[in-house]
Order: sequence, then structure tokens, then C-alpha cells
Amino acid sequence: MLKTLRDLLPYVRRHRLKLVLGMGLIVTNGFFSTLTPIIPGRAIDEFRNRSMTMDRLWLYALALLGVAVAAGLAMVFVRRIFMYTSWEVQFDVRHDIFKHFTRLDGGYFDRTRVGDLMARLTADLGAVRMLAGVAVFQGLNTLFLFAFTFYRMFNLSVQLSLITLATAPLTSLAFYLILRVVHRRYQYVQEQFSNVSAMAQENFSGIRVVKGFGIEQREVDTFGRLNNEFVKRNLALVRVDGPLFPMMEFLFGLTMSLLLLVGGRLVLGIGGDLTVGEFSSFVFLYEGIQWPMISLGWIGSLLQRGTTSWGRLKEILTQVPEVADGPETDYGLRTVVGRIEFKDVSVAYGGVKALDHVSFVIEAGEAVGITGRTGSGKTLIVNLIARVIDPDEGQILIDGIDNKRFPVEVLRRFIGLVPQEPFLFSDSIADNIAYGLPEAPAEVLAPRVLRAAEIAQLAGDVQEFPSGFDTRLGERGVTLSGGQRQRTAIARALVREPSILIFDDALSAVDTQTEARILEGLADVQRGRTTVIVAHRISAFQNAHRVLVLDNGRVVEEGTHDELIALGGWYADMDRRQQLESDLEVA
Amino acid sequence: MAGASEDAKGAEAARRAAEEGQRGLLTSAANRAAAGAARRPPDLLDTDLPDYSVEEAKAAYRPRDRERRRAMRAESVRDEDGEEFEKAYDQGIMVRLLGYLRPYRLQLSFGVGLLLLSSALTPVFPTLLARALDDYIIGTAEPFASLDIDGRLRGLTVIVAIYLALRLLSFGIRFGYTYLVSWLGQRIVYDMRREMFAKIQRLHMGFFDRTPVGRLITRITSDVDAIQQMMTDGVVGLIADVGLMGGLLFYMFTINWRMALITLVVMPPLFFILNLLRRRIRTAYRSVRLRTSRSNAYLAENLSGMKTVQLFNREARNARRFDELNLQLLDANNEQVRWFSLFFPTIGITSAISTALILYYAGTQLVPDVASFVTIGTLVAYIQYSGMFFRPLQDLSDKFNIIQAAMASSERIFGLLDTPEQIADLPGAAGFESSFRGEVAFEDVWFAYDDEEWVLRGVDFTIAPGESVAFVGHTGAGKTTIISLVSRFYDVQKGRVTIDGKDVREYDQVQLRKHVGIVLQDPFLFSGTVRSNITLGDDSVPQERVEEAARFVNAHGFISRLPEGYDTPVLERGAGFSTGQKQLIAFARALVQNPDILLVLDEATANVDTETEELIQDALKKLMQGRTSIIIAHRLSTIQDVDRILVMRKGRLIEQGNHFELLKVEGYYRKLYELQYRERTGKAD
Repeated sequence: MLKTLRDLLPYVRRHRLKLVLGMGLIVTNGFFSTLTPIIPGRAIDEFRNRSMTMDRLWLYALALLGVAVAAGLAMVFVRRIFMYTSWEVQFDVRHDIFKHFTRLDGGYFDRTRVGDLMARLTADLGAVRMLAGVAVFQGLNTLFLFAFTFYRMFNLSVQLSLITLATAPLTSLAFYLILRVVHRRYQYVQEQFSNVSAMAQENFSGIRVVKGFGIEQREVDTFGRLNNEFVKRNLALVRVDGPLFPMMEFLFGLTMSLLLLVGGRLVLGIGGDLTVGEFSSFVFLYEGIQWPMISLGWIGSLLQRGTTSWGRLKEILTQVPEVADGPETDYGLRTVVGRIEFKDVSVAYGGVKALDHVSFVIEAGEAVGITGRTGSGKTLIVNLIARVIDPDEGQILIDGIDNKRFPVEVLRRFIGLVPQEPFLFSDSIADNIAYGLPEAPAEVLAPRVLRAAEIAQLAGDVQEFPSGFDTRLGERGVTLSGGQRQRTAIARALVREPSILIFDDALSAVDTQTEARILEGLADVQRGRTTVIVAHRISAFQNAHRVLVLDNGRVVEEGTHDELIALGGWYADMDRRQQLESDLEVA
Repeated sequence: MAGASEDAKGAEAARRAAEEGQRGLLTSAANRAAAGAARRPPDLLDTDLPDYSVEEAKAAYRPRDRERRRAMRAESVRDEDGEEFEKAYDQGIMVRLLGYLRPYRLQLSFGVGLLLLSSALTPVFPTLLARALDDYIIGTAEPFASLDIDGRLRGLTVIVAIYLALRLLSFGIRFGYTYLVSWLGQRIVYDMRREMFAKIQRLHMGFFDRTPVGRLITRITSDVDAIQQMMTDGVVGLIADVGLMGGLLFYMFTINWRMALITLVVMPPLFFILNLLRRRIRTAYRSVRLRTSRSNAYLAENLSGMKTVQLFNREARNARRFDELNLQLLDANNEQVRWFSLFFPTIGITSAISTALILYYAGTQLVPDVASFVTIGTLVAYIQYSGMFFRPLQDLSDKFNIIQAAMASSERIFGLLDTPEQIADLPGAAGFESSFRGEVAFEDVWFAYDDEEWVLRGVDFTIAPGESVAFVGHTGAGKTTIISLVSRFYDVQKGRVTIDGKDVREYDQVQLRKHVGIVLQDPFLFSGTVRSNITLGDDSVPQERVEEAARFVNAHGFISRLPEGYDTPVLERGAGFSTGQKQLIAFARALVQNPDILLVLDEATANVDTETEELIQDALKKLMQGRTSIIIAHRLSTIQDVDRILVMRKGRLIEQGNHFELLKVEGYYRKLYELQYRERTGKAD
């Protein structure tokens, strides 16, 4: 456990000065808060001895107050110091993990579920924070409280102290044991709760089936059954949870009876001597450690959960990015002209070659189309050019230089990629288009955004939205159609004026007329840029100088449109079919 | 060469990276990447940001206090979904809520009885301690003064015995009422959930088009929870607190009213302060919740779109934005800690003030005369009483808050329960007669979803019993709507849809749909087993019938190859089953019902392999035999198999006839056909 937590230390160490102060305050609090029960006891003895005067009475009252204020103030700052620290630890861990995420490669995010990562960053991080905050300070606090209390108790009466000391572990243990059962039953309850809401979720999502088959009543009955089980499990929980605190009180009562029985004898002079005041102090002291005794069990479980959770967070932090700058990176390379060369490139997925010794050259400024059926390796080529992944074999040269020598950021800066299903962010449309531009005031960005949107044939659509380019995506009501999303992504790529422009089937959701207009606008932009257009529709290749046809990870046909038609292969057949389709759309 | 300055820069960057590594967690494995990054010049790209340090950002994030509080207060009104956290007490809602308690009157009154008993019992314990002290341990007053040591010990033992016995009783009572009250809360939650769920089942399809599933889930989960909390912690807790305080007051005033007054003097200001603190804590807490969800939403979005983030070189900027959101969260957290840290010390100090007052007042009586009407025992008892008084007092304002939160939830729940059911059965809605024929007719049907554009514009057709027809046309032509209308998922605005000459609105909905088997485009599978997906949870369907149906639609083959056959578990949304398999299961599901009218949304999906594709086609052909069938067709083979084809375009019926007749017309259908046909030959290459 300590080994796991060692890496957490750097996060805490930065607050060491504050924490040392906090420790001091914990001791202060322990000292003073255990003094409070002593004072009334002393006063009682003075009453009994008739040594009390009005002046001394004042003194007692003031002392009581002073001690309480000192203890209270100490506690205020203890809590603040430790809790602030724990929130800062959470902040720093989140900061580091986010930064780490931004360095990890695309493959990592394909392998990992976002839900799982989120769970780690919320629930697990929460547990770690509790460990670094509440668990530490309540643990220390309880420790010192016990130390001071027992010190004072032994000073008052050894016999009574021994009784308390004997019963205290019993109480803690009983609490701990019941808590374990409570925890288990609580998990059963949560489980059933997920079942209930999952069933409801399915029912609501599949309401067409439910209604279509008229099985509403059966569904209501099933829901009732699940709910009944939920109620049952809840009541099972209540059966252990409900008596927990009454039982603790009973155990305290039991100890109290013993104290009363033995203490009474001592006060009466049998087997020792104890004054009434001392006895009262003892009782008050005992009352003061009742709740801390209970909280010991709780702190234990916090420690346990926090450690496991930190282990899970560490798994993320120790992931090594597969695509990253390394020793071979040449930071002198700051720009890309646009020549792309694949030299014998192969990529395998699960033993199957997804790209099989592919070689080709795309000259700077050339426009090349890539087509082929689903799974033929088109997107893989795109990802390799943008260095989202690295090949297993072979080499990719950009401007004649191995692309691994380019800083990853530089490559990406000069490659504009438009994916088939673009990911847009829940910002305004303008923000989404300007996503890759340097930070600047909106009015500086606006003309560039507008220009890009015009080429992408998006401007007209956007102007029809109530807030135009300021329309926020993903919030109530506003959702873009597939075609609009693709056009936004096109504008987003264009606005950066990249040297290499890649459309990965980025016009699939756009109708043919709009496609034609986009391509027309692009013709202008394309000049001086390398353009790679991946598409299923031949019409998307009207600006392309050349087309590559892929099949099973190999280039099977290659040439200009006319050459490929003349070849009479896959490409020519696809062209025929699409002619027909366009006739139909006109009809 | 600029090597020297470059080196210096590199060293500086390396130092910073090393620092970061120390602070964070960079294992040797991750060091390679860090080593690369360390040499990175800070102005590599035009998108590079000016220098930024988290520490400085943290230090800078201190907007003026008042502004910050105002922001937090503003945030604490509504939750992430824009729904109100609380609502002022509303008599009408409360009465309606309490109505749910009516069936459990008996248990409720018993529970409250136990509760009050416990309240009466709790204050006895300090009194017993006082008696033990005053009578037997100190025992200066008669008749105890003359007791010998044995008598005193006997007396002490008796008191301790009573003390223990009462503790045991108290334990029993407390457990009893906790259980009873929880039971009550659970029953009410059960009743409400069930009522809501049943209500949702009765709502019309249009409601589901408008309402996100997540919102409905919130209704039957967290909103119901809020009400349960109100019933158990809120109302009952309030009774318990008030009861306990009443009990304490009774004892305190009975024993010594002057001491009682002295003890209670601190309570009103304490209540006031605690209330204030609670309010601040709550406001901050809600800010924390809101900001947490904002920060998490940002994180989730970035994780989902990390490739895009990287492709557009947004790593640094987004990390900074994330920091910003987390700083706001940090701020709200600290605000909460700030107020919370005052809570318990306030109680501690007040309790000391109270003790000091008791001590002082008792002293003024005891100093001149130890045998005054204040005794040592009384003194000790009151110190304990004042401690006992604090607990209900500190929770009181929470109780009111729980009730307010429940008001907001109840309003939303009752809003759902009161939603009008737009598609309801007419009084005396008819079932089906045994002479059911299955004739379906549309008579000049006009239909629009939610008063938007017309989807159907005057559609007229009649399908004879046993006839099979296919609807074809482009997306958005209105084909799917036809099926929804036959099942009466929606009501038409103009014209009428009839079955056997009777308007569908005159039938009992459930009965109607039981005669109309539907196979959806996206074959929705429920979690459960393959069998339960075919029977839709109807256990009365015998296994032979399930198998027979599966065999008939060619599903038996793959099902029997599954590890547990028909009992193979199906995960949520049928994950693990291919689209083709799901479709076959959906066919079996429709067939088990033996419907008289069959509706099929038949989507030819690209990722169905040829073999399964053939099985589906064959199954569909068999299903159509002898039934009135309406198929929304995409597959050529299906279209060739039906008796009649209806061609739709933009909400109108434009051509009809059988396959060969339509081909001769050389119209819209012919073009569609040629496209489909070519596509198929293309695939076969």
C-alpha cells in the first residue's frame, strides 16, 4: 500500500509547510478540546470542598470559554488546511492527467472506453482526494485526540481508564464489522438500482417495440418485480444499517454503566479514591471520544479505497505514447511543402495485413483521389500521412524526409484532415471552424472563418440559424445534419491553409449538387497544395489529377479518370452505377 | 552558430520538464517522450501560446469575493439540466404527496408513536446519572444521607440496572421505528415509480419523440429519491427532532426551570448562525456540483475528440481551458470548505458557552449553599442536556431544505403524471372479432409530426386481406409513417386509417397492436436471453412454439449454435449479435405472436453477409404468406415477391402495380429498379 502511494507524495509534498502547520494545529486542538471536560469537574470538586468563590467561578467560566475557543479556532484552520490541500491535489492530478492524455496516441483512445477513463478521473480521483484530505486529517486528529484523552483519563483514574480501553476496541471492531456488511448490502442495492434504471432505459428507448407488440402490461409487471427486489434489498440494508447507530449508543451505554458502577464505588471510597468532579470529568471525556471511535472504522475504509483508486490512476499516467517526438526529432523542421511518398508500407491489425507493401508518390501540389470498397485500407493511408499512427513496416517520407524526423506538431499543423464522421465540439460554429487557428479576438478570426465557410458551402446554412456563426452546437435544439457537420469540418481544415489537404470520405453525407459547388470552390484553394481525396463517389474526383484504387490493402488500379475508365475495371464499373443513380436523383 | 543560446533554452526547458516530472509522475518509460519534448523550442508553431504556469494561474484566479459569491449564488438555483433545485412549500403538492401515505396509515401512526416514545426516553439517561450521583454517590440529602455503604451500592446497582434496561429498550424502539419508516419510504417510492412507469407506457409516441430518455430516467430515479428522502429524513426526521427537543424541554423545565432557561439561552442565536452556514455551504455545494459536471463534460468531450484536438494542435490551449474550469471548481470547493470548517467549531464553542453559563448559574446557587435546589447531579445532567439539544438543532435547517428539494421534484413528477395521453382508447373501444379479415385502408390521409410539414399528403389505398404490398421510394417519402399509422402510434390529422372498415381509433390500442406484428428497421433487442427476446418476456409461450417460429424464419440455425442456445444472454442493445442475426430474431418475435397483419421495415444493411442476407429474404417471403403484409422494402427480391408495389414520393402515392407492370411504365420505379439491380450485380463481382 505504501509503495503504491509513494508516487502520490510529490503532489502532497508541495504543501508541506502548510501541512506542518496543520499538524501543529491538530495537536493544539487535541490538547485544548480534551481540556474542556476537565474544567467542570474541577469546579464541581471546589463546590464540594466549599473552596469555590465567586471570583474563582468567573475564572472557571472564562477558562472553559477560552479553551473552547482555542480548540475551535485550531479546528477551523486544520480543516481548511487539509481540505484545501486535498482539493489542490485533485487539481494537480487532473492537470497532469489531462496533459498526459493530450500526448497519448490515437490508438490508445481506440482501445480505451471514454466511460472507463471518466470513471477513473471522477470516482477514483475522488477516492484519492478523500485519502489525501479527510482520511489523513481525521486519522491524525483521532490519533491525537485519543492520546490526549487517555493521558488525561489515566491521570484521573487507572481503573476507569482500563475499562474504557478494554471496551473501546470492541466498539470500533463492532462498527467496522457491521460497516462491512452494510457496505456489501449497499452494493447489492446499487446493483439492483442499476437494474431498475437499465430496464427503464431500455423500455423507453425501445418503446416502439413495447407499444408495437402491446406488451405494456407485462413491462409494468417486470418493472414492478425489479422494483420489489430493489425494495427488498433496501430493507435488507436497513436491517443492518438501521440498528448501527442505536447499537453504538447501546454499546456506549454499556460502558457507561460499567463506569458508573465502578466509578461510584471509587467515589464512595471502595478500592480507591476518586472525587465526584473527577468522575464527572471522566464521563465527559468518554463522551468526547465516542464518535471518533466510530470514525476509525470509516477512516480505514477510506484508506483502502483511496489506495486502490490511486493504482488505477497510475495506470493512465504510466501509459507511453506510441506516436511522439523522440531523440530523432529535428526541431529545425518547421514547415511542410507537401510531397508524400509511401515506401513499402505495411500495417497489420490482429495478424491481418491491412496495408500490404504499399508504395506510391504524391507530388507537392498534386491532387490525388483514393477509392476502394469498405475496409480496403483507405482511412489507414490517411492516418499514416497525418501520423495518427505509425506503420509496422516501411517508411513514409514527407518532402523526402522520414516523417518521424518532423516534430509531430509541425506535421499536424500543415496537414488539414477532414474525417468522414467529424468530431465537432460543443462551442459555437465559428469556434469550431477556427479550432486550429492561433488564439485571437473574434473579430480578427471572423473574416477567415467566413471565407472558409463559403468555400465549404456552409455559410448559407449558417446564416439561416438564429445566431448565425455564434450558434452553439450540441445544446438544446441545434443539431447539424451529417452534411453540415462534414462541411463544418471542411471549413475547419481549410481555414488553417494547410500544405496537405486530406478529405477522408468527407463528402459522403453531402448531396451531389453541394458536392459540385464545394469542389468548384476548392479548385481555387487547391492550387499550390497537395490534396488527397478519399471517396466512394466518382464525382468527388473531378479535380483529381490521378486516382488510386485500393483493394485488400494493395493499390490495384492507378491512373487518370480516363485511363481508369479505359481500363474497364472496378473503377469503371463504379462509374457506370453512379451515373444511373444521378439520373434517378434528377428524376 | 546560435548553438549556445539554443542550448541554454534547451537546458531551461529540460529543467522545467524535470521539475514537472518530479511534481507529477513520469516514470522512466515516459521519459523518452519527455526528452523529446524538452528540446522543443517554445515558438515552434504559430499556434503556440505565450508562457503559462499553473502556479501563476492559480494565484491569479482570485476574482473579487463579492463577484465570486454572486456567481455561485446564481449557479445554485438550477442543476445541469436547467431544473430547479428547490421550490417553496406548496400546500397542494404536499397534500397530493401525503396521499401516497394513506394506504399505510397504520404503519405510519405506529412508527410515529415509537418515535415519540424514543423522544420521551432519550432525556431520561442524564436524569438517571444525576440520580446516581446525587442520591447514592454523593448522598448528602435525606433519606440518602443515612444510607450505609451497602445500601448505597445496592441503590447504585439498581440505577445502573434500570439504565441498562432502558438503553436496551431505546435500542429496540429506535431500530423499530427506523425500520418502519424506511419500509414506508420504500413502499411509497415503489408505488410512485410503478405509477410513473405505467403512465409512461400509456403515453403517445409523439411524447417520446420530444422527450429525451435521460429526462424520464431522472424522473423515476433521482426525483423519486428526493421524495423518499423527504418522507423518511424530511418529515419523519422533523417529527423526531421536534419530538426530541420537546422531550428535552419537558424534562429540563420539570427538573429546574431556571437552569432550563439558562441552558436554552444560546440556542436561538446558534440556530440562526447554523442556518446561515448551512445556506452558504449549500450554495457552494451546488456550485461545486455544477462546476464538476462542467469540467467533466469538457474532459469527456476532449477524450472523445482527442484525435481532433491533436490534429489541430490544440493540446496546450485545451489543457489551459481545462485548468480554468478546474480552477473554478477549486474555488467553489474552497468556498464550501471555508464555510463548512466553521460549522462544527461553532457548535463546539456554543456548547462551551452553554456549559460555562450552566456552571456559572449553578455556582451562584452552590457557592453560598451546597444544599441549594441545584445539585451536582443536576449540573452534570444539564451539561449533558445542552449537548443533546445541539444535534436536532443543527439538522433542522437541513430538514426544511430536503422538503423544498422534494417540492421541486414532486412538481416535475406530477407534471409527468398529469401529461395528457393523446392517444387514448375511446370509451368502450372495441376488441377484435373472430371474423377478423385484415383489410387495411387509408382514406385521404394527411399527416404531419408535431405540426411540422406534411409527411403524407392525401394518401389513399386499400390492401385486401392476405395481400402483400411493398412501399418503395426515397428517404423522406413517408413510407415509415404509413406503418406507424397502421399501428396507431400517431393519429392522423385528416382522413382516416381503417382496419376491416373500422377506424383504428375505435379499437382498443393494445388489442389492435397484438394483431399487427411489426418488425422494425433497427431490430431492438432487450437485455435478457434470446428466448425472452422472441417471446418478449411472455413465459407462457412454450419452447416448442419459440423454436418453431425460429425455425420458420431461419433463425434456429444460428441460435442453436450459440453457447447456451435459446438461453444465451443478450446484452444491452443486443451487443454481440450481428445486424442480420438481430433481424432474424425480430422476425421470430413477430411470428410468435401469429399476427394477422404484418408490418416490416426492411432495411438492407451493408454489413449483412450474403448467406444471412439470403436467410432473411427467405424468411420474409414465408412470413408474408397468408397475411396482410406491408413491407417498406429496400431489397429487390422482396419487391419481386409481393402482390403489389406502391411507389411513394414526397408524401404522395405516385405509381402502383406489380413489378412487371411498373417496369413497363418507364417511370420512377423503373429508375429505382435499375439502380438496385445494378448495385446487386456490382456486389456480385
